[in-house]
Amino acid sequence: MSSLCLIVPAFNEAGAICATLLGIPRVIPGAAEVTIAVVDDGSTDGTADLVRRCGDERVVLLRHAVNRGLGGALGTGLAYAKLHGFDYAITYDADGQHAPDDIELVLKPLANGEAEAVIGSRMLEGEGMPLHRTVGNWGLSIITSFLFGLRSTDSQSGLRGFSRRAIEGIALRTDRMEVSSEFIKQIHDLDLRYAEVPIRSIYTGYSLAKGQRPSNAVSILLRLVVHALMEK
Amino acid sequence: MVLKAVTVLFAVFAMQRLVKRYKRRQAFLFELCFWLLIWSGIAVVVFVPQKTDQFAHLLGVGTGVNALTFIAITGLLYAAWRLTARVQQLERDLTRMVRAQALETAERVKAR
Repeated sequence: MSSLCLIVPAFNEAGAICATLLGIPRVIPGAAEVTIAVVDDGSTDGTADLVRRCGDERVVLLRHAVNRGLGGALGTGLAYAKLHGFDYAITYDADGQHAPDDIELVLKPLANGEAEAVIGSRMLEGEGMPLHRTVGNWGLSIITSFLFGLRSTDSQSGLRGFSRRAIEGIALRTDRMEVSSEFIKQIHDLDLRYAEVPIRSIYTGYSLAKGQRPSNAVSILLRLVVHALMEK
Repeated sequence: MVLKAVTVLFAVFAMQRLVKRYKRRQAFLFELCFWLLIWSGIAVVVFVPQKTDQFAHLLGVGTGVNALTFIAITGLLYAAWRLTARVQQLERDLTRMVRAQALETAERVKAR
């Protein structure tokens, strides 16, 4: 009986949260028990109420009293998964950019014991991604690989999977968007067996507006450097 | 002359704010003394910049202005580093508190 915790960080996602939750398959091969942990990161647009209205009995709502950023929300989701002893955890964006079928693709290497950390890479097939996103992701992935010693084709992907050992070992220190690169660092530092699977991305006007802007790449880089210096 | 007047006015303004903060118990006596010393020093030095040359010789720097600039930049960099470290620690503490509360109040959504 393997259990899966699907972590959905959500900040002001009233426009997409219902469609995202309703799109998650009832049955996910490889997981006998599924819990969807929605982390409402201090939303002010009624996201939490919509989660209560649209979610089913698999959904657990974790509410941040104030906004802590993507890293803070993912850290809370992982803490919940660790606290309740889940076998696997998968992070899944709330803005509707992931194809629900890809959850199974990310889970498969974990369930088969082939990997302890899996990233769903949008770059392996690279279809449908706007050019500025492709360039931004490519650049950040190269820099992340250089800084943290683990090669990833899509370090900024929001669809990631972790085994129990990874859930127990990962201790995030960053609160904002730079958390995606920090995951790569932690996978490397904990010596987790790593795999990538190709996933699709669904880009809509909504998800493009909510997602990372090219200017964020500079901010992420600066934060990574500051964190790296402060860690010393 | 304009520079001197502006510097003195700004120093007086800063010292006045300091005293107000101290009276409202928003600053410690040590803070008050330290910053009063700095601002009054600046207000004096702007009138007798040549006096700082002796201090510069002690440091092995050409002129007093160079020495003050060097010390100011070093001090500011150190203050920025300390503030960044402090803010990061506060951010982490805040996240820990918010996370603990979220885990404690986790609610299972009722079946539709």
